[in-house]
Amino acid sequence: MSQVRADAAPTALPALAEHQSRTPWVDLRSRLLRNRLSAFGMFGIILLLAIALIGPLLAPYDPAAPSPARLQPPTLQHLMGTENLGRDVFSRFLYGTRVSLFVGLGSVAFGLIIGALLGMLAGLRAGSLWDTLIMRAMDVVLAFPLLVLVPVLAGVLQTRTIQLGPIGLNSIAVVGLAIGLVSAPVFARVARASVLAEMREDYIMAARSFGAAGRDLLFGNLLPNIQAPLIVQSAFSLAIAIAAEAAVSFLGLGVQPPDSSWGNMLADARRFVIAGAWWLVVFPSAGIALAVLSFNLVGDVLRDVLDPRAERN
Amino acid sequence: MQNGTDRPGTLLDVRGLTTRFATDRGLVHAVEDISFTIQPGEAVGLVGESGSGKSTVLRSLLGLVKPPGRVVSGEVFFRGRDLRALPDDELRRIRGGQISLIFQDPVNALNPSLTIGDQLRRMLRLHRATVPPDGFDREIMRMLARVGIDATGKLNGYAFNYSQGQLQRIMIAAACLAGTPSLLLADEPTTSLDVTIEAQVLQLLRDLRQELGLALVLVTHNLALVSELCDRVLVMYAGRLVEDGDVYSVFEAPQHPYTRQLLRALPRFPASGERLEAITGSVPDLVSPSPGCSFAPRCEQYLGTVCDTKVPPLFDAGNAHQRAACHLYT
Repeated sequence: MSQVRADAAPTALPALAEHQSRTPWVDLRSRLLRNRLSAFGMFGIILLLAIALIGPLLAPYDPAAPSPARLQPPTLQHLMGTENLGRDVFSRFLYGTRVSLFVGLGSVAFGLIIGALLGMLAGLRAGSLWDTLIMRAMDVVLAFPLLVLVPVLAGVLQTRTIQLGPIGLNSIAVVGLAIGLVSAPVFARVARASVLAEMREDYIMAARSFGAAGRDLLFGNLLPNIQAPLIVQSAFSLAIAIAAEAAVSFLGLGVQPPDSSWGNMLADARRFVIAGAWWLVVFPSAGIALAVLSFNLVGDVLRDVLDPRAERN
Repeated sequence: MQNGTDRPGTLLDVRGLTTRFATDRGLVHAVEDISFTIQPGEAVGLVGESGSGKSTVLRSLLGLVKPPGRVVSGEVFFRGRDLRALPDDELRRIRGGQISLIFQDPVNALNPSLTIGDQLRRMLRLHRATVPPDGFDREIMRMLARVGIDATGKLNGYAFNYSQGQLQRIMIAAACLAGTPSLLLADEPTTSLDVTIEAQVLQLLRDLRQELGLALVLVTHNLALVSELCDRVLVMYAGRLVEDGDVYSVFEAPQHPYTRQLLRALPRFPASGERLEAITGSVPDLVSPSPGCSFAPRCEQYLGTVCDTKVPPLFDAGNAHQRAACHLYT
């Protein structure tokens, strides 16, 4: 590809031809796969995403349908056994993976958009009243521990389905929004700090001297340069969000039956583990562990690759 | 064109421009009460040592001083309109559209995360309503060809794909050809380039200036560059203008003691083996400027108390249109 281009214009810019295909993103992908830990993390994420996307199509049973075969250990009929109402754990796990990842991804996307927007605005108007108002509001949210605020928010909100115009929010969406709201301050801080650092750069002055301002400056010139730390933070926030959803659902304040999620599967399992029904605990726990570990591993490598200041090995 | 200029043809008329930086040590008086005019097509060199406020003057003209700096007073009339009083969106259209800025280091002045093509397309969108969006790439190729870059198939390259010299050419293309500027502000445009590239870039600037009838304000501490490229020279010292005159007069017969001592400090070729002359003393503190002439402590022609107590305005001195801010010419 780059060979063809180089031949087309043999006189010009020899340096460009060899670099053309190595954009920062290509470089990132190769580095993510070269590192063994992050390759494992990528594999875990892809596996979980695949389960979330196509898993429910493969589910052998209705995840909510009880059957007389209660508390069966794993067999060929029930790959992960059955639980106290005779429902197939494997089917519930497939559906639960979708819910848990959906809550994780949705909440981080929500937190990222809200947090990054507010943070960029604060950074652009650093020192102004807007800056103070936004960042102190974020501090207030940050002052509450995640695992306290999310159950409270979710508990307050989720006694019924909330109707926002035509959109009805069920317990899954409410938990997602609550976690997203709580994760926004971290993104706001990262975005603000990045904007402050970038605003000192010459290219911003140059862009302004060429007439860029406002939205153009913020999204056209600044955003591409502060996306790296935001992406890194997203990976870590995903791990936290998935763990938070599990914790809140485990407490019975998150995703409500008959929907399953890793957290409420564990909650249901509490009373039967002592009786030896290990399969009720192992599989959802493995899901949580794999998700949290994968996102953290990928986040670590992303930080090394995208942040030149971090030490590389 | 309603208010402002005395001479109707004047392109830029700066009056009493004052820029200060609020620091922990106190207010830094970076630019104090500077006034000058630029005629259409005129090339003016703005010289002075590091920290004399040259670059801050350029940024103040466009309202681009970084906080904690602030233009505190003065007017900047461009074609009769005070840029400082313009609403933001009109000022935006003038930046890059009618007044362009070229930076010292093109590597830092281009966005590292956007392709060159992307950045030039943005500028065309801002300043060239007449070019249809599907004609942008052709127009960009034409602009780059004009500055000597064959960018066929290379518009998707990033700044790091290009050499320093190529990047400065791209910056010049962006500054001169993306909009329809009549004034070019250049902040040490060749300092970061090696000598052979510098000569090429200077030639390019000279050609474009002639072709487009651009006026130029060249900030530099390279006096040779000024004599080569400029018609007029403004000398700054400690945030103030100390001398203003045509290049020939100022270099042949400098009137301000600072200019005189500065020119004497230049190394001369035939007289090798001599000690280089230096101006004794050091640059004054800009946080607490003296109530008088800030060059007084280093001046060879110190006149006594008047120099310490009264800031000299620009007096006519020497040749026609030559002025110097010194009590010698009261």
